[in-house]
Amino acid sequence: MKKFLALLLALAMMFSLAACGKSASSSESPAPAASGPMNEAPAVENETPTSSMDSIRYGVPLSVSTLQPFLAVGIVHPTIMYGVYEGLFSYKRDMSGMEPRIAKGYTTEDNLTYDIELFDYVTDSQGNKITADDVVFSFETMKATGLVSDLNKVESFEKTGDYSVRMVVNSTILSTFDNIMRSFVVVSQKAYEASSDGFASAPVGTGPYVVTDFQPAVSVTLSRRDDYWQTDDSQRAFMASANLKEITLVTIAEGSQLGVALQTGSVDAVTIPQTAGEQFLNNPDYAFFPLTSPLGFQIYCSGDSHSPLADNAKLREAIFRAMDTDAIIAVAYGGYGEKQYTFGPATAADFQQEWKNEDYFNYDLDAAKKLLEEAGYKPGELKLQMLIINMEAWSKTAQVIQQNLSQIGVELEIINADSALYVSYFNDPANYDLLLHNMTLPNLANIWERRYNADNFGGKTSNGFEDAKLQELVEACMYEDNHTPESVAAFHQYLKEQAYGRGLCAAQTFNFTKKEVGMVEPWYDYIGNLIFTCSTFA
Amino acid sequence: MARYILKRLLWMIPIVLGVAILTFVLMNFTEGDPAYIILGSSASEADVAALHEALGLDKPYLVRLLTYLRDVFLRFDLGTSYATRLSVSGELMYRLPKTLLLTIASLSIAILVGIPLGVTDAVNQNKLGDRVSMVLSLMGVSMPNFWLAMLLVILFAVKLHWLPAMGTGGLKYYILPALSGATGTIASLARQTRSSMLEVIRADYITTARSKGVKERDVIYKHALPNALIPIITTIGSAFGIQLGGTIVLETIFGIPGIGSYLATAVTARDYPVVQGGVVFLAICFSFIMLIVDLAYAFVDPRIRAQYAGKKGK
Repeated sequence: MKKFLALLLALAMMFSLAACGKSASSSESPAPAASGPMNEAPAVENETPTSSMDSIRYGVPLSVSTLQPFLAVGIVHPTIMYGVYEGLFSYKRDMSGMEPRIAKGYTTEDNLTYDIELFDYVTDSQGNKITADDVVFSFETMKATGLVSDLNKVESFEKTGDYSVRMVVNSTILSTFDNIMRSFVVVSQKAYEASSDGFASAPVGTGPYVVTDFQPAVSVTLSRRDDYWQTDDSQRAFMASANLKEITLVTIAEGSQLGVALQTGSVDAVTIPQTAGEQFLNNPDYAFFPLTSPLGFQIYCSGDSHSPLADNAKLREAIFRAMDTDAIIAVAYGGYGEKQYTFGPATAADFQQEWKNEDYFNYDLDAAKKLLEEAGYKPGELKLQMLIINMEAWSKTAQVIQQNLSQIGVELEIINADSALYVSYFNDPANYDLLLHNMTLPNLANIWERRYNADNFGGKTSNGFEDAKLQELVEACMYEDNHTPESVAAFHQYLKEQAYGRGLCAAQTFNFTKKEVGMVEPWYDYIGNLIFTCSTFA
Repeated sequence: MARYILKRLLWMIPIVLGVAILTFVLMNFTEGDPAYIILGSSASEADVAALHEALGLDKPYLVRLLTYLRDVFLRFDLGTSYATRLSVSGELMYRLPKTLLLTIASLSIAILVGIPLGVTDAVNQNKLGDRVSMVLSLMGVSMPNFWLAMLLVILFAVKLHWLPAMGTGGLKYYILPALSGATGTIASLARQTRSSMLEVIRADYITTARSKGVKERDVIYKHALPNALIPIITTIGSAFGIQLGGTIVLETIFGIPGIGSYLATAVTARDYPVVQGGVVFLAICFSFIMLIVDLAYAFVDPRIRAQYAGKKGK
């Protein structure tokens, strides 16, 4: 009797867990947003907000434990980095480049030496004037941490006047200047050295916001400064627009709890997983801002000698043509996603719209089977391994691919790794046959340079291919002076022909606010974080 | 007794030393490079090597181990987080009160409910109440606390709006997490109490007490329960130690910045100083808890007290 009762209770609990499972998904690292004009008209009917609030509470999964400026990207929430601190330059609204912020501008003749001139009236929230000495100090402090690899491209960074500096870099690779400028912020040396904890709890920056409340790992409140130094609106950088009076970032690590927080009114806005967000769709009390994440997935084939994909272009193409991106979007992303048409996001500055009309590994099982046969394999003969990170969206995507490949008789084993293990394995193609990865940068050529430039990986690409022509083509588009639509198209075409890798698809992130928040135009940084302090409100 | 306490405190040193060495070895031979995690997927091998040097990860393993042991045991420095550059001991001190509050709240509920329930079940063995209680205990032990946590949130926060769904700020924020965390411990305490009491209430001295006309209430609570407390105290001590480091799921769900979530994040990020420092800290805490448990035995049982004092029990 006891055993029967125990079994009955266990079954009841299992069924209730299955019913709860859909909404209790755990939070992942944010599938960040695209750069540029990426707001699409909402696919569902939520009304346009008509009023705004002075103070907004935004639920974020990132735990903000410190407010120090000299840390690796992603440790401090970008809202703080963009709102409280400032760099020499900052992104334009459409992410097409950088615009002056603390610096007035720069000149360069060779893309190696940059002369940068500062505004001579920049002050921080304590009233300290910012000079070239502070800029040099900030750069050297950041570089000394070793936490930002882009700064290793700087050969020298020195003061040339009270309000001017000269930077010499050792690379003319595309976007080197932009990447360096976005990698560090400028603070007053005097204020920083006077701080007992390096601004960890009480930051002093030049930005249009100050931190007015901070509970480590719980919440941080930014309030707009009335004494922001840039009073000339024509010179004011877009990212310093400070349309919002006050914002509180509230740490909510669990994905389903983000939805609960919005529902119960603990927060006014969230970015949440789709499974937790569906309840707010078509709800007139909430405004919906979907965004196709620029961190979409790409797939790499292994060029290592152990892998059957290494020397078999037909096999690689067969595998890619068996992948049904529509099914991935429908099953893994609940229908909220978009295909990729090249190795990288469609929101990249150098993406070419005509690629959307090309045959980009279009799903075709018959063609895939034929290519598999031509590659020398019969159904059932081939077993491959795919390396992924053990996170929900990754697992679902891999499972759909696994099912797709089984239809052509290829067995796919999915290797789940935690994120730490994954980053140790993913640059060694001996660890996989197929690699699921996500990466984004403002330009496709930057992504290709990072992953397919053999100079970065000891003579082969990151996935182990040695291809002189590929190297020639990547070098033909990765520098400032040769990055042209033609050179970009040439690389895209060759990579497609060789099928060393492919773009797959990208999920949409669900951003919801209460209707009364009144956000008219959200702004997202280049990896897709929704930045309220740079957004526009009614 | 003082000598016993001193002896136990001295024994803690080699125990914590062993824990520190074991944790260091395990973390350093676990795959996953913290430099790659910090720098991201676009970092070159040269960048990774530069960060290894900055973090001291380029030094030989034994040098790093000895440096770490020196810092922990001679300088009482648990290190600095690779990610946040914050002092590990500072972060642990910030988070400890929140985890302690959650742990104490959970355990208090568990003790106040579990022990009387177990006593009642033992006294009414095999009656309907006992059977129902044991079934509920089985459910409590089997139920995942994160599942119960979400159900409580849906009911009390979303539907009824009686309690907050998450966060910190006052005692009301700890009610739902404490209830979620207490359920399993209530169940195990109730079962342990019932089992211990059943052994004791059949003893001759209990029969003697009854035959002398002692009230049943006094028989149970003054004569039986104190003699059944030893295994119950052990269960409470173990539960305390486990909850101190194991509330990561509840801390994540309810947004409580505690030690569990801190360590879990650090393990994923291979933030060695945080993991090593956190485990050493928890080892010290657990050692103190076990000492308190052993002293509680002495408080409850005079025979054990005499043993600790070095006298033969009479």
